[in-house]
Parts: sequence; structure tokens; C-alpha cells
Amino acid sequence: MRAHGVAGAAGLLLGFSLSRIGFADYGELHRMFVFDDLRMFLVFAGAVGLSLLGFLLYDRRLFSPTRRVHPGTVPGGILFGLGWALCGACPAVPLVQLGHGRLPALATLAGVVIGTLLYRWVHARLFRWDSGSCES
Amino acid sequence: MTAKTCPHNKACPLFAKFQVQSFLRIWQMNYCQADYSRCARFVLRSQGKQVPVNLLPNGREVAGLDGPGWD
Amino acid sequence: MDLLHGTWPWWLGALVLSTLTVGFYILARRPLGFSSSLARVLDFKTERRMAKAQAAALRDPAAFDRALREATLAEFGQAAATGCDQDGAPPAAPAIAPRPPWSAQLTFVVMIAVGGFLGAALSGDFALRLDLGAEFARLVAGGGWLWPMLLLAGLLVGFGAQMAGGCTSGHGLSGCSRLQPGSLLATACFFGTAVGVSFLLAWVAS
Repeated sequence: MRAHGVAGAAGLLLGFSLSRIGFADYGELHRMFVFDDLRMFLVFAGAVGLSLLGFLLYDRRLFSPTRRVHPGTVPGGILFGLGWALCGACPAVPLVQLGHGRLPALATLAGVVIGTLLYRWVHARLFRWDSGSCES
Repeated sequence: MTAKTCPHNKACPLFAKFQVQSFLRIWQMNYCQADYSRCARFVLRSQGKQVPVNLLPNGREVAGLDGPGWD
Repeated sequence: MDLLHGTWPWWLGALVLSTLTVGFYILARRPLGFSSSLARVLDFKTERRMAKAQAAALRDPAAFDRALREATLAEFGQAAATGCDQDGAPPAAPAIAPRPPWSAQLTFVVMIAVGGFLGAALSGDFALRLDLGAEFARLVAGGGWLWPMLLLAGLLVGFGAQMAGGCTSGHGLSGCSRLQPGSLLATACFFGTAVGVSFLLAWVAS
């Protein structure tokens, strides 16, 4: 029950803040990417910086390198970045866009779901690499 | 030649169990600290899949989930 | 400054997202990450199997250990008994940890849409529309190309995030703030690529 409360609250806050920050707006995101408006970059950098501080204060051991670089890191990152620039999804954003009433986000969401399922299939059949332990 | 240990040893719940009981150390000698690429858990992970806690390196499961003492 | 209705200044966004990132980790004991949650929601069959195994092992640890010893005997026979003489010191190792239930992951995903709706409704930005705004139409695709383009782009995002092992929440927020090497590189790759492609789109559109 508690797990559901935490998960639900986290989802609500994430969706709400992504909406109020402006991530649901393709125009805003594009302006961030071409350095026309640094506000959203600052949001991200600030969030990382403050979180870093928070984690340091909470538990130094959280910094031991569990999430390592593996063969999927770079190609996956590139594919993701390509898709991100083309539709603004990252990939929770289509859900926020739907919350704003933007119906084409259904197509984006469908794509994200298909891409997720496709990857699982492809990795099981074609890739063999150590992407880190179960609990990373 | 230094023995290579499976890179997942720190997070694997079975590795921890094998470490604690001498009777179970034989699993480490045959898989974790030897040819860990044969370990069913490692293979599943390499395929990008999740590993059930009761999967043994030899591919068998620790007591069927419906067996005695399990519910 | 209107917290609920207007667009947030950068420091408010940073404050809220960081509170969410760290707070979630403290309360849920795992990093916040949308793409892994989505993957688990979609993989309900595996989730069910994993949850059953986890629950059985946690419910009766003594029975689990007994079954483990039996399995060891079955596999190695008496050779097991000649392993080592002494039990090792208990390692500072992960005990079998409880998994977040599938329904909690689903709740997380669904509530993001609800949160988005709330954000839109409170700011007066909610409107059922069949487009993604003028900039999108100008830079990427409009008319009949809109939906197929979004499907394709979404596919790249979903596939790429799974391949990289995370997205902007998992790698970007949770991973980078803990200085995880995989996350730092993945984030650099996705931001770098997105920036490059965006400049290209702007140049093509002009």
C-alpha cells in the first residue's frame, strides 16, 4: 500500500512539474536545444546539482559506480537523442502532453511502447552484453 | 593466473548465500569464481532479462514454487 | 509569482525535481526512472514470476535455505561437503530485497498523465487538440506526416532509452546526480544528439 502511495505521489508530482516547467511544449524544448532559451537547461542542471547535494548529505555510498558504461550506452543514447529532438518525448512527456489534451501524443506513446517492447525482443535475440547487475 | 569473479557478485543474492555457508561454497568454485558465463543467472542478465531470486547457476530453480514448504 | 498557474522559473523547477529525485530514493529505496518503470509495466508476465519467487523466498527464509542445500546436494553430491571447512563471515551483501509491486509501477505511470492534466487545467492550458503546436509543424512535420512521424520518433525514444538503460529521469536526474559513469555518458549522448539534430532541423526549416 505504501509503495502505491509513494509511486502515485511521485507520478503526480513528476507530471505536474514537467507540465509547469514546460517540457510538454515542443517549442520550449526546441528553444532549449538550440540555446535560444537557457531556462530549461538551468532547470535540469540545477536539479542535478541539488540532487547531488541531497544524495551526498544522505549517503555517500550511493556514489559507488553501479551503473557502468556498457555497449548499449552510446548507441542507445544517440537513438534516444534523435527521437527526443524529433518529438520532444523523454519518454514520460507524451503522458504529460496527453494531460494537456494534445491527442497526437497518443502516437508518440504508441511509438515509445513499441520501441520498448522491440528492444526487449532484439536484445534477447541479438545482443549479448553485461548491462549491469539486476539491482543497479 | 588470477581467478576472475563474476562481475555481478556484489548484487547477486545467491552469491551472498554461497559466501556465507561453507556447504554452498562449491557453487562459487564451479560458477561465480570460475566459468561464470555458464551461470544461468549471468546468461539471463546478458539477454537483458530479469533474474528470479530462486534461479540456480545450473538453470534449476530452488524448490519448485509449488512444492512443500513454499506456501 | 504564481506557483500553480504560471510557468515556473528555473530555480523552482530545479528545486521540485531534485526534491522528487532524492525524496523518491529515500522513500522507495530505489532510483526514480520512468523507462524502467514502463518496461516493467509492459512485462507483466515476468513481473508476476519475479514477484512470486521473491515472495516465496522472503516468506520463509529457513525453508529457502533448506531447499538450497538440497539442490546443492542434488547437483554436486557429496563433493559439496568437502568444500571449505568454515562458514564465512556474513558479507555486507544484499539480502533478498522486496520488489515494488507491478501495480505500483502502473500507478506511477498513470499518475504522470494525471499530474500533467492537473498542470494543464490549473494554468488554463488544457485544450483537446490534434496538433503539437506551430513550432512542431514548422520544424518537423505537419499534416498527414504528423502521426507517423511521432510514432517513429517515439519508437526511437523507447528503443534508445531501453538500450541505454535509462532516460532523462533515470540517467539524467537519478544517475548523473550520483555521478554514475553510465548515466553521465548516456546523458551526454542524448543531450548532444538532441542538440545537434535540433540545429539541423532549424537549419532545414529556414
